[in-house]
Amino acid sequence: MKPLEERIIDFCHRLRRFRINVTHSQIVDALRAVSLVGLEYDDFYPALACTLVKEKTDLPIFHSLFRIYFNVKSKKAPEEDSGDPFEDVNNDGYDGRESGRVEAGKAPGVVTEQRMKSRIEGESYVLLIKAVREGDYDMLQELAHQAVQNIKGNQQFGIDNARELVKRAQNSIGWEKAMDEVFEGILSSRAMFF
Amino acid sequence: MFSSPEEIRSRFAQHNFIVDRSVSTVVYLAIKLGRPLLVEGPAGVGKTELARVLSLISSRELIRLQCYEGLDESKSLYEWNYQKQLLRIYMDQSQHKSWEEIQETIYTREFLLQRPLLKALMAEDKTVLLIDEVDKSDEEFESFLLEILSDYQISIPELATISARHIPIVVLTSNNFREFGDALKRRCIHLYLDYPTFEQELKIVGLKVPGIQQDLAQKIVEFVQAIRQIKLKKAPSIAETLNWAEALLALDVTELDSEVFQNTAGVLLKYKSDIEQIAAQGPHLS
Repeated sequence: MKPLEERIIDFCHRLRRFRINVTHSQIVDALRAVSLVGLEYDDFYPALACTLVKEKTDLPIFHSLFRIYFNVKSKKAPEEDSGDPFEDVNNDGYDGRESGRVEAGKAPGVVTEQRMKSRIEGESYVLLIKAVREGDYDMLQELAHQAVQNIKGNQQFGIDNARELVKRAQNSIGWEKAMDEVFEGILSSRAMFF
Repeated sequence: MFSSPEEIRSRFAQHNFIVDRSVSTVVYLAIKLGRPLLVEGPAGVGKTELARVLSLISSRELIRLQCYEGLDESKSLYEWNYQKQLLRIYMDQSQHKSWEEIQETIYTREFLLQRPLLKALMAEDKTVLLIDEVDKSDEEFESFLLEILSDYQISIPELATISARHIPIVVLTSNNFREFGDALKRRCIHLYLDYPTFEQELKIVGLKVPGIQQDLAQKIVEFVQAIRQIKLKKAPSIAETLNWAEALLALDVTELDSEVFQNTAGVLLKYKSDIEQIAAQGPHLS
């Protein structure tokens, strides 16, 4: 697996593909910032956010890309991640909890699990629409990976409930909502011709 | 100066300024990276207060520049003390000095009126420079600010080029009144400060309104948090929560009902239409 610096740079390139314009000096800042505060979620996340995101409206996309890219949700590091500096973090620091700040950034108030869940789905669905519209297969793959991660742990894997599991995985990344929107877009663009 | 984000957070807390770990991390990074800190967020969440408390905990003088439309270099950087220069010219004339001699005396630091930016650059001691509501200034000022925040030096043609003795900790605040330039934004470390969470606001009320019943404080904060979700002309800030809590405490209120709200709503909400809207469709009060 790539060293941390490379992963951060990769992440910045991915941000650019989602039209979050990141300059070289911002990447340098981000790398310095991370070297100053380390990999604890409450430090690592704001270190990248405060150096890379310059528009508040870019925060939701940044947030969901961050979750996917740095595997925030998964308790266990994926196999290919061995030797990766994030492995330790995945095991003890990245337990999927959110910092209050991140949550407060969108919706102040008491954070319920339901609310958090709907927000995560909400963000993934934006990514899903973008990925479909732009034919971004890497992104689709990463979203699929996240969907599988989302249902891991509290589910028994079996042939019988495979269909159910796929459905759950799809729901966890806001599949229905995204498809509705994508098809609506196609329909309305067709309607222009009639 | 500060060895960790946690240190900043606990020092903030000593001054009753309650923030999340992630906020203190961003502040820590801005200081360590030597970058201006741009704090954005709705009015009344403590953007200016953050700069004030930062100056307190770092024992630095706070130099404040309030931005407004039409703010220019003479009001933000320096100005020659024109009247004093004139007086000096009269004096020198009576002593039959030549123009060259006069010129040399009137363009000296004695006649220089330092405005906040120059003051921060020339300060003997380290400072915190607060550039408040930068989004209210206009574009020319912004590009001029960018220049200063890149080099921390300015040139006064008649005098010299002045470089900062100490790079100040710079805090810029913005309410998103106007979208401002990309270049300036990229120069800064960003902090989005939002309304506090329920737990944080409850803690703030407990700290700043001593003597309030926990039960009442909880109801007040619950109510305020709920009405912030409703679209109003002006959502209540932390200061207004505190004022309201103080008012209710002074009135010996123990129970929050619609009558109490009607009588005290002016403390919490600043527009008549907001008060009417909350009374009609706000959170249920008995």
